[in-house]
Amino acid sequence: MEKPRYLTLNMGPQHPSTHGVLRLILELDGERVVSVKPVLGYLHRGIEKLAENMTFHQFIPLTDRLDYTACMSCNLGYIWAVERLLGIEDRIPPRARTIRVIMAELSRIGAHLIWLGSHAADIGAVTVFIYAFREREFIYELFEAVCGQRMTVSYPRVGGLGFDLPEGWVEKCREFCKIFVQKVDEYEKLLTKNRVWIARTKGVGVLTAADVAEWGVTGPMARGSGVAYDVRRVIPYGGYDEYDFEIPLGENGDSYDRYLVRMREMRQSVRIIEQALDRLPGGPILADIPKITPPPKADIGVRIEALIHHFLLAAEGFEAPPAEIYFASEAPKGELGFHLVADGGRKPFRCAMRVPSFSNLQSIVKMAPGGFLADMVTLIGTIDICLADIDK
Amino acid sequence: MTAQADMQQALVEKLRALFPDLTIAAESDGKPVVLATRERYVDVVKTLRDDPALRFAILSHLTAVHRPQDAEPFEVVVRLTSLTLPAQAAVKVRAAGDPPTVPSLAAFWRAANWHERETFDMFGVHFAGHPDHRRIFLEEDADFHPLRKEFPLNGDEG
Amino acid sequence: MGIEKYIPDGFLTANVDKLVNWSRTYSTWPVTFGLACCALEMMATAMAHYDISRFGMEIFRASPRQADLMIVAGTLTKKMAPVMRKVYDQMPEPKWVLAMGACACSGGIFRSYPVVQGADKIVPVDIYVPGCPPRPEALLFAILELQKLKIQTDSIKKRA
Repeated sequence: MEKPRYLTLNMGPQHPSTHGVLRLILELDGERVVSVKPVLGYLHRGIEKLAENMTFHQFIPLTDRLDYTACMSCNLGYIWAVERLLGIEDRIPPRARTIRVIMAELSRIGAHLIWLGSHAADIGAVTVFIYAFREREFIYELFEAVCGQRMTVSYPRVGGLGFDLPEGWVEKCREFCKIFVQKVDEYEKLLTKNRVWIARTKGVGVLTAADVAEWGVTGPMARGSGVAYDVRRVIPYGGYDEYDFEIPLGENGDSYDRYLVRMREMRQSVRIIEQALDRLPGGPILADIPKITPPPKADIGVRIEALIHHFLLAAEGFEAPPAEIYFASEAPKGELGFHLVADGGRKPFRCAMRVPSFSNLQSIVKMAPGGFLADMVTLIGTIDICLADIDK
Repeated sequence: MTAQADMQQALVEKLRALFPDLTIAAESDGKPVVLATRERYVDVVKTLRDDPALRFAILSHLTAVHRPQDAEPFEVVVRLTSLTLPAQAAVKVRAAGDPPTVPSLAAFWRAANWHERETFDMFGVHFAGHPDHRRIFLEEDADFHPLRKEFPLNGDEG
Repeated sequence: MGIEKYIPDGFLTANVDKLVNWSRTYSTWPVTFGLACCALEMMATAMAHYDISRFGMEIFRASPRQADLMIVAGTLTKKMAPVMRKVYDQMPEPKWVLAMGACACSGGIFRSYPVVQGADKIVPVDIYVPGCPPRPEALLFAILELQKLKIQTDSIKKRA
């Protein structure tokens, strides 16, 4: 009996539905996918190598370009890690800690909006794409009001934040929270009970809880299969243990459940933001550690020590005493980890990044075979990849 | 924070009892690290994963650190997460030989597959027993390993 | 209303070159070539708030065979460079290239081993848009400049 011959089809790296430069080599038996082989590296930019050649502060803008749908989350993941490396976590002012939580959750909402828009658009619900970006523009305006940049914000600094909230920002943020919950209702009205949506996502890309452990999947992908792994709850950081929020879990581990999990997560993020806004204290936004933390901008033209410290930090950076840590945070796509090694110099000896999309994408090798070619697009959307994250 | 520190200390004690022949250290933030030998490496990881009291079921990360000053310069680091405890711990092992080699976890734990391929691509560390031992980011025929300390940032352009 | 206002007798005389040029300029179709972060700002430009559709460009064609403009939005790596050249070659004449963002213009903040220091090392670029990422307004300004360029300098004769 002759071995069956399959059609080899190349998908990407230039493709509207691969959400970036991902290449998938598919073997097809008619419409059924027999195997999928992802080819990565089309956006490999050497970020880990660049980290070893830059000071800790200089590296902050590069963390923006990791998961660019959630730039603020990547910034914060890195800054929290550096602060733990230096042992200055307890000295971060309370105002800075609270604002960081607000920004992280706004970033989570923004990333989920992009996921929702692109996932729905690939499946065919193009209207949702346009609606999701409308809300993301609101978040862009909030970010721009704070730090001048819409997307690649580079907002936090080691020891605090780059800028304080301008006047009226808190009210604008509250307005956003109020409107946003209604908008999520709008998206749900379009999709959740939509027969076409259900047909395209229910039962597609099933991952059991055992698969989650076998494939190292984290984030909403794991929670969609009922595995309650949310770093904010399991290994709290940044003050998250002071906030009251639920971790939504799915049951069946298919694309529909992951959709529901992410929608609920957006609502929970709004809940956290509102709690943080309620308890936002006054005070400084930068810790008083002159050798590490940049001085407040207002001081630089007035006090000579501030000017000197600013100059030294910008020109040379601070020295990090020998230490090694791994810090995990809950980025929108999953566990974002920074393994930082300091050797007493001014630059990291090693900055290894554990990026959520990398491990999550591996599971496509499990989920794709047996499904239709059209389901490949659903799978890429439900995994929620960001190629800059994967390829570093 | 103190509760977490206590729990981490208790975990270090438990690991010392489980692996009496190996050194159990703690990283700068208290997370336990098992410094495994190449012979015990796979066994250690399997024990951490399967022991019912520990259940380090999620392989968060696998990478390497290149320390050219050391006799065995390539150190492979595995990060494991347990939802049962909950805690995170690490297993570190040095690669030896030419090319520097450690046993592969991908042979029995698919989460390690792409991480080991990436470590091979970036550092040139070989993983004995890996089912698909090839590069992942750079081209298949690339002849360099960029994250080695001697490789310049701009590659052959200097 | 409409064109009847301008040609009440039903006859229109025009220079064919200008007519073709006008239609090409005001309905340029880009090919989806978002590589990295700039792709998100390109998407934002295409969405309702900034609305690239006002300029006739909302149809992003997935197939380069049906596109006129390649907006290189993001970092070009050495692995991706042959793919980009292939997509460029597959586009039929007349075609234009817009390098969006610092990475496409000159390599951006990634001065490292796998990154091509600018898309113009692989394909000829007509318009450069600096920024990291450029705001949607900057991209729209570049598109308007490109339209000015096309209207003023392009012609069927030159391309043939």
